[in-house]
Amino acid sequence: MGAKVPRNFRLLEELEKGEKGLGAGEHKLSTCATANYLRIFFFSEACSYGLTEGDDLLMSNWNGTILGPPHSVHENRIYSLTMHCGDEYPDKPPTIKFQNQINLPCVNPKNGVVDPSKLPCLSDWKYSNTMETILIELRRFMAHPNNKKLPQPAEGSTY
Amino acid sequence: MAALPKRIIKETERLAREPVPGINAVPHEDNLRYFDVSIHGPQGSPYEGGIFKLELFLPDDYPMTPPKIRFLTKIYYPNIDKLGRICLDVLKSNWSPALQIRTILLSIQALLGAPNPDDPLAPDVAKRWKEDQEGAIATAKEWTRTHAMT
Amino acid sequence: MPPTTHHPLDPSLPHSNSIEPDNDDIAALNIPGSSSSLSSSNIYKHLRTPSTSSLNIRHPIDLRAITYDGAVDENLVCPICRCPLVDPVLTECDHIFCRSCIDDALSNTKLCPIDRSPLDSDGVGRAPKMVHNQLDSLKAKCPRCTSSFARSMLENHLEKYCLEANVKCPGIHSERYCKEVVKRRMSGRGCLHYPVDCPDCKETLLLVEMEEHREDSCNEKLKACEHCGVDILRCKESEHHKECPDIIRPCKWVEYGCQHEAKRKDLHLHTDDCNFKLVGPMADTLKKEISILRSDMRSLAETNHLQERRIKFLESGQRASDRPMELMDLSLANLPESANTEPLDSGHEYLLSLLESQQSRLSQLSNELADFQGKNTMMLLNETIPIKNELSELRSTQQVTCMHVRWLMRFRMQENQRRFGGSPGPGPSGSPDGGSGSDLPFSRRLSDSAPRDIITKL
Repeated sequence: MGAKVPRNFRLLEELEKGEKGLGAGEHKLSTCATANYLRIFFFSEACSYGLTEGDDLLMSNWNGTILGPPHSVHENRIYSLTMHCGDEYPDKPPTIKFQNQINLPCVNPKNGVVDPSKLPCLSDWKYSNTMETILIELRRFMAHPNNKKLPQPAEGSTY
Repeated sequence: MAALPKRIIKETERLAREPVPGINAVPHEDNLRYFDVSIHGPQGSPYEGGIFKLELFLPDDYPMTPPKIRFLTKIYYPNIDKLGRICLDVLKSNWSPALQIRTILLSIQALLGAPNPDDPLAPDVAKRWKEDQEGAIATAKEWTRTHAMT
Repeated sequence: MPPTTHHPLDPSLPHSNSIEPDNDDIAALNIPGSSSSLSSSNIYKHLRTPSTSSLNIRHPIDLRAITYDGAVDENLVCPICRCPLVDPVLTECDHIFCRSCIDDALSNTKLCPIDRSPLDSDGVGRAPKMVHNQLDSLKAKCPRCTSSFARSMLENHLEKYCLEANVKCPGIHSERYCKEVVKRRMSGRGCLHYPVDCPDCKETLLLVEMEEHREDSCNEKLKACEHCGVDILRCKESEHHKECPDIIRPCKWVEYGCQHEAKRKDLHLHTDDCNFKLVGPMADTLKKEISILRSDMRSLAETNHLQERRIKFLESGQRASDRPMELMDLSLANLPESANTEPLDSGHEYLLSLLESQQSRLSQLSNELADFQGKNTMMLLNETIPIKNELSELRSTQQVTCMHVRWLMRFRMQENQRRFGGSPGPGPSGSPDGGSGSDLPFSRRLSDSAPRDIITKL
């Protein structure tokens, strides 16, 4: 095992990876929700993420978006969620909360918080997992045969 | 964790034994590649009197790749962005394995004394620096007072 | 290798007939550098011990991980790894790096790390010999025993000498074929890789770990000294007893008759009161004197012995001078090499004694030679006489056969002449061999082969 990358530099790496899709060359740092939507529509990216506030030196709060997987009730829906990376990230997983209402077994129907024990990548959290891992796994979870036909709340409704 | 390369041990020892005036770098106990750094603002610059905190990390292939450095103290400066990332050639393409932590930190200290608005990392700050230098310097001094002097 | 001056008296050297030839060989093995007074048993022991060098293990050293003595000159430090250079190379732009460091750096960017001038691996060559020499002579601590050596000698030290370095277990040569390693200082005790019980805590461990176990990790390692009550290591009990302040010790003049005994720490109180405090030192001095006198006497006896031999030799000097010179040379050539380095004075004596011994050996040899000659002649005679007898016997038999043949031939010829009375050209009857060989038509007509066979045989 090599050197252990400290939390802040690990988050900077993830941020830079998340920004890559947004046109290289520009020193574009803040990643607002609009930009995420644009990426999803124009670049057909399934997931994206970025810092909630571009000047958050602690880089704790992040926004993520998931484009609903095709051939499921989620198709064409865009789910927005917040991720909070605590001081112990990436030793401990971030806490995930859906903004848009969703009916999914791992999501608390009252407040949209993802139950870490019900999502394998959170319950079996590994140091090498990233926020991108979580978003991709959530999307796969939506497309799972058990979940893809669950009745969903009206589109656009939030917690 | 793999054994720490002799070079990192030597650099750390030397930083502790013969510290650079105005610069302080101490490794974390649990991660000897991760340093808490503080740099005194250079005299005659808008940052004079401020103590700026930085974090520094030596990646696996250091010294073949540059150390990663970031300001933790907010600073109003055209070549440092809102997240504290620094635009300095020796930290990127112009890195040389003969450079050391102490030389890099000295370059950063020198950079504070000579802002370069033509190669900005913070476009809004750089724009103001060009158009209204006095105002920009005043803001820099104010930020130094509020963020770097507590 | 200057031998001691009384070398000629050394019993292991061939100065008398009583020495067996075996010992001569051993003495000849006395190579320069080894003490010439080594007794032959020691030499045998040395020869029998299997070479310990076969147990050595190479210890590759990371020259960047060792501790150097003092501060190393900044000019000998690689700018990349910040360690004293390892396999230094010089770039086109006159900068020195470790070979591995600059190779790594150039695989990232083709620029000199110091002045950023373009550089690739072709522009890098071996650094001057002087730099290598300076680096090789840097002193560094042995990672095992912490004594300092020139860094170029460290691997050799670890491989061959360091007592704390590992060597193969000597058990590798036994039938157990032990493949473990053991510290060199313990390797002289044979294979220690078998389990034994700790005498203190009864735990079972390999013998090789026992020493460390009893000193460090054993739960029962400490016991209170029965004399002073201080906690001591069980395995160091006897060492402690040598210095324990509370142990009962006799007065230091006990051998001269003082009966007093006291704890070691209290003994000094007794020294002033001891009845022997005046006699003791005196007796000590006398003892010393006696031993000096004894050794003097021994050396005098030796000199005496030598002189007696010289006299004996001079008395028989007449005989010695008759000997031809070449024999002397021969005896000199047989001397062990060490005799050549003998100091001159004692050399004469030594040569004399040698001459003496060589002479007696020569006379013995000539006696043996005469004996041998006699034996040989007898043997030859014994063997040749029967051969001679046989030879004469054979000769007479042959003559008899010849006679018979001649008689038969003549008889046959006469018969033939009678049968072919009128045939032309019969050979002269007197010489049967001459006629038959040349007269072809005659022999062809002889249809039965018997007479022809007789002719050819003759």
